[in-house]
Amino acid sequence: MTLVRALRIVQARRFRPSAYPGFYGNLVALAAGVIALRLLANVYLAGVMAAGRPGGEALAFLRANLCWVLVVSATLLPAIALRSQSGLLDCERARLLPLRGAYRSAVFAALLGPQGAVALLLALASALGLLAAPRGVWLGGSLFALAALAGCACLFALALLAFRLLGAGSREGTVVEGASFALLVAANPELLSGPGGPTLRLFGHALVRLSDAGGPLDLALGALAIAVCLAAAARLAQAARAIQGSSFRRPIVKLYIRGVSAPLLALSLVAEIGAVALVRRDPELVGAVLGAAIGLQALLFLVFLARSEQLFNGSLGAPAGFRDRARVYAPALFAHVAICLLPLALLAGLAL
Amino acid sequence: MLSIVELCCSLGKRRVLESVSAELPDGSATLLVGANGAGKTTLLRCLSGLVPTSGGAVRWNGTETRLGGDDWKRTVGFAPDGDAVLEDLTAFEQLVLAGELFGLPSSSARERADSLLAVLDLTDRRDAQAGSLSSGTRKRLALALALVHGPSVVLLDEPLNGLDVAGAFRFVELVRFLKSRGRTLVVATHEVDFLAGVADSLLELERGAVARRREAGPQAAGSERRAIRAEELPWL
Repeated sequence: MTLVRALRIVQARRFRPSAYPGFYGNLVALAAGVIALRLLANVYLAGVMAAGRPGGEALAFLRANLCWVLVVSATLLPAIALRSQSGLLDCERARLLPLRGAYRSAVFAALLGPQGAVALLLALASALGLLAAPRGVWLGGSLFALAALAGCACLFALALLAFRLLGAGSREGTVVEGASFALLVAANPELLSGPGGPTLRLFGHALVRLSDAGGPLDLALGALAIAVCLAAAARLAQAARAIQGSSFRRPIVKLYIRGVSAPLLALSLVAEIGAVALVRRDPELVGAVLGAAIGLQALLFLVFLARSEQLFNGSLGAPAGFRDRARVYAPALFAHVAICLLPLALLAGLAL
Repeated sequence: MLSIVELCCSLGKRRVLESVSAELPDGSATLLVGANGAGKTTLLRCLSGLVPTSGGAVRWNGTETRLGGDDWKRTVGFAPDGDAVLEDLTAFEQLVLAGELFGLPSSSARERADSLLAVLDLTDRRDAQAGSLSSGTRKRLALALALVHGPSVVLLDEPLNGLDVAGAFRFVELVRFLKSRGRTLVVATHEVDFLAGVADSLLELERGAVARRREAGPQAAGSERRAIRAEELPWL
C-alpha cells in the first residue's frame, strides 16, 4: 500500500484501524522502537559530553554502552519474538502472549517514566517475557535469547564503527537513531509493508522530526530517505525471495531463502566488503567490522532456526533428535555460509 | 491396536481430560464427538504429543509409548484444525520437506508428494505458495502433510471444515482407503451425519470425560437431533 493510497483512504474516511488486525500492535511496537532509540541517542550524547571532562571518561563510556545494550536488547528481542511468532501454531502463539504483554507494558512505561528507569524497565520486561516463554518451544526461547545477545553484540560493534567512521559531532545522535531505526524496521519489514505501514511511516517521521539531535530538515529528509529505501528494499526482497527460492531444489533451503531478513543479510554482506576496504586504511577496525558482520549473520541463522522449530514441535511433529535436526538444517546452513562468503570470495577473485 | 488408558490432561489449573480410556483396533475409524470445549481437540493434541498429559498411558500394539517421542512421531500423523501449512513454501515443496523431515530420500518424498497431491485433487495447486491457497485447499494440504510419512495412526481434527462437497466426498473415500490399509483413524468432528457411514465407533466426550461409546452407523447421530419447536422462537 503506497502512501498516496493510504492518504486517499484516510480522505475517503474509509480508514478504520480496528479493521486491520495488528494495527495497534504495530503502532505500539514502532513507537517503542523509536522511543528506545531516542533514549539511546540522548544517553550516548550525554556520555560523549561527560567523556570530555577529567575523570568522567570511563564512567560515561560505561554508562553509554550499558544503556545501549539494554535499550537494543529491549528493542530487538521482542521484535524478533513477535516476528517469529507468525510461524507458530495457535497454541504456541497463545503461550507467547506474555511476551507480547510484557513488551507492550514496557512501551507504555516508556511513555511515562524517566529515561534510565525506562531502559531498565524495557530490559526487565524482555527478560520476564523470555522467562514466560513456552515450555513447548523452549529451544525457540533459548534461541531468541541467543539471537538477542548476538544482535546486541553486532549492533554495538556496528554502532562503534559508525561513530569511528563519522567522527564526533552533533549529528551522532541522528546517525545512531537513523541506523538503529533502519535496523529495527529492516528486521521487521512488515511494519512498513503491513496494513498500517503508511501511517507507521508518517508516525516515525513525525517522531524523528521532533528530535533535537540535528537540524529538523536534515532529520526529516534522512528519515524519509530511510523509510523510502526500506520500503523499496522490503518489496524488492519479497520479489527476490520468490525468484531465488524457486531455483533451489531442497525445500529447507527455499524456506531459509524466503524467511531470512534480506535487508539485514545485505547489510552484513556490505559490512564484509567494508571490512576488506578498511584493511589498508584502518587495520584496527577490520576485526570489529568483520566481527559485526559475522555476528549479524549468526543472528540471522539463529532466527531462522527459531522460526523453523515448528517443523519439530508443531503439528508436523518430525523426529527431533540431534541427527535429525542436523540432517534437515545442513543444506540451509551450507546455503547460508555460501551466501555469507560470497562477497569475500568475489573480492578474493578480483584481487587475484 | 491403540489403547488409551485413563488419559488425563490439565492446561494450567484446568483439568481438560479426565481419565479417558478407549480401545481403537487397527483399520478402524473412531469419531470423537461432543460439544465445543468437550476436549476433542485436546485429546488429539495429547495423542499427537503436542500437549503433555498429566496422567494415564497410551499403548500401541501392547507397548506403552512415549507420546512426543521420535518413535511415536513416526507412527502418528496429525492434521490439526488450525493452520498447519508452511506459508513460505508451495504445496509440493512442503510435502517434500515433510517427507525429508521423516527421513525419506528426496526422490521418494517427491513421488509421495505428487501422488498425495493427485489423490487429494491438489495437482493444479502444486506450485502455488501455501499462503495464497483457500482455506479448503489448505485443509486438504494439511491432510496430505499428515499422511506423507505413511503413519499407522492418523489423527484428524475437524477435517471437513472448509471443504467443498466434492472435497468432503473425496475425504470419505480416503478414510475408507486408509482403513482398508490397516490404519487407525481418530477423527474429531461435528459432521457426524456425514461421517457416520464410514466410521466404526463414536466416542462422545463431555467435559473432558467419555460420556458414551457407540457403534457408528447411519443412525448414530439420531440421538442428537432435536427439532426446534415454534414456541422456542415464537418471534421468528
